[in-house]
Amino acid sequence: MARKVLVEVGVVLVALGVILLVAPNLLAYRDVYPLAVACIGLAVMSLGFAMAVAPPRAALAFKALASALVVVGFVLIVLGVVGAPLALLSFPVGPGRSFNYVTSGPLEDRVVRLEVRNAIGRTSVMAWDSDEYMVNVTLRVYALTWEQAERIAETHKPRVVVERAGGKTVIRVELNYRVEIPVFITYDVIVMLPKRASVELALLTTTGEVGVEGLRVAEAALRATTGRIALRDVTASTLNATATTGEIEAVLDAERASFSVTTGEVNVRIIGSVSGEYVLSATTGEVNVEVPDKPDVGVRLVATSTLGDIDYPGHWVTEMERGRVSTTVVARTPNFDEAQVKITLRAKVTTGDVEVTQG
Amino acid sequence: MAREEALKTIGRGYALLVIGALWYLVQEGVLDLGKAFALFLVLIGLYLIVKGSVVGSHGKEGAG
Repeated sequence: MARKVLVEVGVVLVALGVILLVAPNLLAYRDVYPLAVACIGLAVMSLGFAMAVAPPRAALAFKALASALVVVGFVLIVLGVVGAPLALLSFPVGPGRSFNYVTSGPLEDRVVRLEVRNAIGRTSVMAWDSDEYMVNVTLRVYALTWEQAERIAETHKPRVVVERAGGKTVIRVELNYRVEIPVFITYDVIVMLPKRASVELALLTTTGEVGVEGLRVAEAALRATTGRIALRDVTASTLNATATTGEIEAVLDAERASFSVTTGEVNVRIIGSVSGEYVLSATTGEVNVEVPDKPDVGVRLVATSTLGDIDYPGHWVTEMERGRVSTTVVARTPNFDEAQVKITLRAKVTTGDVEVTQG
Repeated sequence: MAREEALKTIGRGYALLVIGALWYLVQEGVLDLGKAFALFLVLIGLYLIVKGSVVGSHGKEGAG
């Protein structure tokens, strides 16, 4: 008897595992599960009655069918027991269903302006070798039922507006966040732009991440209220990145760049192929800058920390250092005056450290 | 033996029917979880009573 129970439990677990492997989205709770279980129950009962009156061979067949239906019924119950509470928990562990939307087309102008206002989610802009633009939006819906998720997806398709004006192409990604609780949605936006394009960016996220990679940026305003701004291999004329609570990480060259966090860290690595001025500030947090160690690159640092330390390489020339509580330092690399590429760092931290390294 | 198997199958089907129906009613907001559990106990209990009576009476007949 115990062996039989073990075998039955094993069959249910194997069936459940196979279903989850083949169709993991089944974990999203469905309205029809309870009725399906009830109908299976009715069918199994009917088979039981039939077994009582049928000849032995038919009874065996009915029994096999009934056993299979019982397994299906238990699988549905387990899916419901696991899926329903997860659905109720919703974000971040609830079952989410993804819907993908891709828009692409040729770019007529060399100058592209991209505007994305993403409340919750990740916005990434990257360069690619193609001459076209591509906007790939993934909508993730956390809803109690599968059908509800599909309804939400239908009414929350992202809108990609492409306009040409004044010699530039403007791409605007419009996202609709209006949903009723307990439904929760996020959007992840990936935009691919040609490497040759001169890009203007206006990217805003309330909670999430903004990423820019491999682009030549003419002008950028990047803002994350709570989250992270990550720049990689970017060349910028004017760039302004702000995070209220979060982190800014950048590997770039810029003529004028400003990085500001209220609470968090600013970590910047300057490539050093163009001269530029970098303003880096943190109210509570840290500013870490790595500058290149090249003979043709000179660096000047103007840093203030109200409560914290300012560290810079020992071989730099100190022009000024004052203050005990609030420290201000002006220092430069020995080659600054004759360097072809001049980098100026203006760092300010209220509570926290400024650290500049060279390497 | 065949009759026993048939009764067992009917019992399983009945259990699934009760679970599915109560689950549906809870989902639709007709029953709260507490009431559903109480009803589950009542319905399973009734089933056991009926089954016990039927099997018991047949058992006595068989013995006689």
